[in-house]
Amino acid sequence: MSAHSTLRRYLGNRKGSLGLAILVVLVFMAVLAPVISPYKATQIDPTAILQPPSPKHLLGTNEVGEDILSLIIWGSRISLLVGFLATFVAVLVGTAVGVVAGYIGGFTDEALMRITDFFLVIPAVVLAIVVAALLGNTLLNVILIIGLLSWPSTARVVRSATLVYKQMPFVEASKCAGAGTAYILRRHILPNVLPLVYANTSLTIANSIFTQAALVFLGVGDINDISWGQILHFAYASGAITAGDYWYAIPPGLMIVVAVLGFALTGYALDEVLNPKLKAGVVFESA
Amino acid sequence: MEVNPLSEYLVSGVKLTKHFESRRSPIEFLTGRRPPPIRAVDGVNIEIQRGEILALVGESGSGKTTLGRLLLLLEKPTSGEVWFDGQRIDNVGSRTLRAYRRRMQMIYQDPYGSLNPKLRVSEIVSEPLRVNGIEVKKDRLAEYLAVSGLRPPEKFLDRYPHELSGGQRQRVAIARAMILEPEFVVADEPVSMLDVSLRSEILGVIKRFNQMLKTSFLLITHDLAVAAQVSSRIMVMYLGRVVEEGDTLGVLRRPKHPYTQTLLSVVPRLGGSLPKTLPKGEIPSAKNIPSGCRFHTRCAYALPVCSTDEPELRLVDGSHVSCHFAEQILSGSTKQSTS
Ligand SMILES: Nc1ncnc2c1ncn2[C@@H]1O[C@H](COP(=O)(O)OP(=O)(O)OP(=O)(O)O)[C@@H](O)[C@H]1O
Ligand code: SF4
Ligand SMILES: [Mg+2]
Repeated sequence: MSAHSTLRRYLGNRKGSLGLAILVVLVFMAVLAPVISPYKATQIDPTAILQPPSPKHLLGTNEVGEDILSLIIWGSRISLLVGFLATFVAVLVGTAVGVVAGYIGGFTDEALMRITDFFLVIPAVVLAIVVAALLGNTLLNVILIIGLLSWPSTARVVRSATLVYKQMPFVEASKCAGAGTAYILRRHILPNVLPLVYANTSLTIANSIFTQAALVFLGVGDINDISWGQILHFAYASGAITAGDYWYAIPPGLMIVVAVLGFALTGYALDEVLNPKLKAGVVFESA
Repeated sequence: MEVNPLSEYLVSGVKLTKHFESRRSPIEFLTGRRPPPIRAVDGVNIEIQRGEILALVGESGSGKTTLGRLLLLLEKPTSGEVWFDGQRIDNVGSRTLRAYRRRMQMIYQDPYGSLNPKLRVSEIVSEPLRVNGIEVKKDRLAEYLAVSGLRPPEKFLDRYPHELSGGQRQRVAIARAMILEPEFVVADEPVSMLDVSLRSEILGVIKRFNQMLKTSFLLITHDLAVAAQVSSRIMVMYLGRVVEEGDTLGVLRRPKHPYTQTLLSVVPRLGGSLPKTLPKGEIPSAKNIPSGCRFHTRCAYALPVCSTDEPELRLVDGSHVSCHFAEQILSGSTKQSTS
């Protein structure tokens, strides 16, 4: 399967193209924030406090006179950054745990899967609040907390794929030739298992963006970093939501939903395109 | 390590047995009874000489694959011994065993599952060299691909498995198995999943490597025509036991065991003179092996003694046969029952 035909099949997938379009827009927004944002994020307009949308402030202003549109654009940076970095941590840990548990099996597998189950059942937000309170309310800690809470699903996917691949004859042939465990994992198991991880990755990013927003909304994390969750937090804290100041609360909420949707659609489409035969129960590519 | 320098055989198995635990049925689960084990290989003696091709034949489920994997120690024997080049290797540590691994290789039945879809042909065939720290020379890869029948080899080096046909894949798998110049290779049904028109060519490749490198092969097949083409000796298995063993020509021209006869009678080209007799019914389960002669439930010559006394392998007219009535059947003094 060439990269070219994979791309063509991906773009032929409606969910996939929509998801990709959303991601492209979001990434452009984050990268080009200094260029496209009408004001500096923290620039205060003392003449416009909590104003509804107007030609001067397209999405209105907040209680200190900051431009909402500019906040939204700058906020995409933290939201995406947390999404990507937390997912990087999750994929790294999840893949390592899944491959080792699946390949080594036995007691190691049992132990690792018990730990995975533990992380699956503990309520993420509660744990995050406790850990942040203990370790400090910083952005880095939020990224690590979300990452360490998100690896179990990757670990499960990777483990079950590893179980399938480890009993393929080509793995045994490699053993017969004298290959050791590390070589087999790197050369035979990982290249076959990673396509499954890619699809899972998008879903993890979506989840991380949402979790970060929820945590900031609840006051976990550095409240000075501008992100969509932080805008929502202040919209609520300042009483704007209860007062019905729709222009303050709806844009950040909508951005979170759209971003989550974009990554989720991409993930589902990647799964369909990269792993079509796995669904049919056949793991190798037939001629 | 036990050493037997006098052994003239490259590989031998002594009273090899492999029992698998079977899954409990619901009734066994409720009553807490242990299910009977699956007796896949049940006390087999086997010797393979240097440079020979020994064909191992038998129906599906007779234990051929398990026996082959026991000899390579890919499966741990329940009991019995495996000897390689004068040394006992079934009780050595994994470090020592790894040194033996590269001297024995396996060729698999399924040419799809035996090649990693993510690797190119050159990477697949050179892997055994790389993991053993041997320098990879392109000429050597090309030579082994060419002997395997992939010509011109340069055309195939950069391909992925999905760009190859089943036959081409099997040739790649053979080249990979042979590139370390192993002394012993188990080829498990290497042609059964290939188109009939390709089979004899692929067998030719095995024969060529056998002559080129003096490699011994255990060629597992359920097809006596395959055995006839390349083997010098045939061993016939039935339900985990050897029922007949002898020179290929002798076994094919004058099969002595009723089971061998029925196997041969269904291969028109080889068994033309034999009455066409299929064994009656299905092969019994390896969980529930019949008493006495294991073949008695399906044998056309069976007499009462067959269901109580298990026949031993003994020399009859140049072959080893395990049947109480081998001589009588050969001379025609025993009639088949007409049930
Ligand atoms: N890993 C295993 N676990 C449990 N039972 C097994 C296992 N491997 C083989 N068996 C059983 O052992 C018996 C012999 O199997 P084996 O694969 O050696 O036969 P075979 O002669 O190679 O048959 P085939 O022609 O179908 O490949 C069968 O009843 C099989 O179901
Ligand atoms: S011993 Fe009896 S049952 Fe077994 S093969 Fe000979 S005649 Fe048939
Ligand atoms: Mg088999």
